[in-house]
Amino acid sequence: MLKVENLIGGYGSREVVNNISFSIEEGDVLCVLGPNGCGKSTLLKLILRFLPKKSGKILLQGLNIDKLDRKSMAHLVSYIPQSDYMPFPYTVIEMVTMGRSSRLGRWETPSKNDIDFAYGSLEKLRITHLADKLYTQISGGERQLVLMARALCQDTKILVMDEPTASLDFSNQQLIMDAIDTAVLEGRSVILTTHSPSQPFTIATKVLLLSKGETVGFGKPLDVLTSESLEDVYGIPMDIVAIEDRNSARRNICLPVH
Amino acid sequence: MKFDTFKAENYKWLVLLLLIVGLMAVIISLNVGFYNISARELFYILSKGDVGNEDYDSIIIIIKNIRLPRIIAAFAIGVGLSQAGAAYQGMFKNPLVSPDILGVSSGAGLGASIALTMGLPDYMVQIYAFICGIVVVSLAYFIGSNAKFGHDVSLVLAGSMLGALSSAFITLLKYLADPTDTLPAITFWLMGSLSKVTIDSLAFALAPMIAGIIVLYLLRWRLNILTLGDEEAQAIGIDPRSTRLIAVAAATIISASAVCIGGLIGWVGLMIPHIARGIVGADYRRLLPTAALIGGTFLLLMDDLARSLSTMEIPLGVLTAVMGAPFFVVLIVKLK
Repeated sequence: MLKVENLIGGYGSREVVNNISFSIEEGDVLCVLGPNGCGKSTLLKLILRFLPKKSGKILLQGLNIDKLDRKSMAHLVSYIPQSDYMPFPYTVIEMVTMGRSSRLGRWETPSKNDIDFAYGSLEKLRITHLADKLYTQISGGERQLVLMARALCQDTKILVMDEPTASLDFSNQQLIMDAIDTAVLEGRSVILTTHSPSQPFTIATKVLLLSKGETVGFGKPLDVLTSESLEDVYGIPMDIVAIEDRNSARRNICLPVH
Repeated sequence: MKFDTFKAENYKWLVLLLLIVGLMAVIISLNVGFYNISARELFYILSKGDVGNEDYDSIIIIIKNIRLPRIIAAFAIGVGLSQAGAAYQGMFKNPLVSPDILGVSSGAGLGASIALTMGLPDYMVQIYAFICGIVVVSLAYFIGSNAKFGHDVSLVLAGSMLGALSSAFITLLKYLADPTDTLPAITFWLMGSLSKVTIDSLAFALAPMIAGIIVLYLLRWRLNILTLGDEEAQAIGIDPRSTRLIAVAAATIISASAVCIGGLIGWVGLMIPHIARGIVGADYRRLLPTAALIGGTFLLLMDDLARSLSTMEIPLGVLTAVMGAPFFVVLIVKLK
């Protein structure tokens, strides 16, 4: 579904991402993990072609992204940014309907069908009650869900999320996880960056562990995330601990050791 | 500003209301001026048209040649500046932006000052103003798109730089100008006024302005996408650069036309979009028509005040600035 081969790129002459290769299939959730400055965000920007790459290949459903225009790319991959300062008071439904834009001509405005589709996306994430609220006045967690709904409204096979759970409280983080599950159940794949080494154990099918722009490991969370690899990357001693929750389900979490 | 969610189904009633208010403002404005025209006479002429009744000849001449062009000019400038302002605010993601952000007003002012210094006739002053306004923005766009960092930020920086440069040249021209006739002419032009508007001068400027307004209206959905910023717009499938280029071109032609009809009239392009946003929200599909009607009516009423408050005409630009400055303060303090 998405294949990245020997990707090199960065800002100007500075190579922030160095020779990264990985691939994901339908239904995969890929967590990109690594310390600040390891190249996580740059990698996302290269995949979304916000930045030009220096060399390597990125294939979206077998199509080389260099040969795609913005419109066709927007049919294959959507982007969920961290909710940013928005100076203008759009309503939530207006914000979500913007996800249909790649299917509209330059001078076209959304039709009734487009707006219905946007309501459908809100419904999938169970946030239809927000439809007429102002995007500028809802909470950070709600805004993140709205951006997720916009991506569902864009209706792409691949969703790219930039630290979706950063700066969210515990229950809102869980709502985002549920939203990711919803997307995966529809046959979509998700790539997200995260700062929490425990997060991949709960949601990811694959992990890409980065350090200084290079791949430290890629594969199943339990194979890639070991106390050795994490200690290597973060520079502090870490343990992977297996626990049982109240439903006797086995969970893995990552703990720094003092 | 405090925004409540606007009910979309109320929109058509709002437009109807604004149309009625606008029409009333037009009728009132026909009645404002030195020559007193009674309501009965006005109604008679409006309903019967040019009836050949000699009693009404002078009234018809005043209305046709003086008041009507001026009303059209005021309304058109109000509409144009509010459209250009709304478009610029969105595409630079900045609610404090006004139509002259890219230097169009200073550029046009420089063009007019050059023409006035050379003693050219009025219509040439207009043409010079229009061309110089567009040249300055084109230069800003060229410099901005070659910058290595953020495209929109560098565009605004280049615009302010060229605006400051044009202002410096205007000052120089004023310094060198003949203080008995050229200097007052430049000063008066820069203050903004509609006292010299004629049907001919209007025709020249209205065509490009209307074209620009139509382009912005057709682009209304894309303008929403531009407010998300370049990266998100790209991810949604819109090329922000080409979209912004069309929007900048349209907004610049509108502003340049407005400036060349009425000189520098500030604040309208900043205030009106905010008032409209406060009523119908940020979506350009409703924002543009609402801002147009409010802007046109507002400037028309301001011009009525300009020509009736005292025996001497108050420059329109001064009047809008007096109204605009306190509004700007409120905006800064209250903006969330």
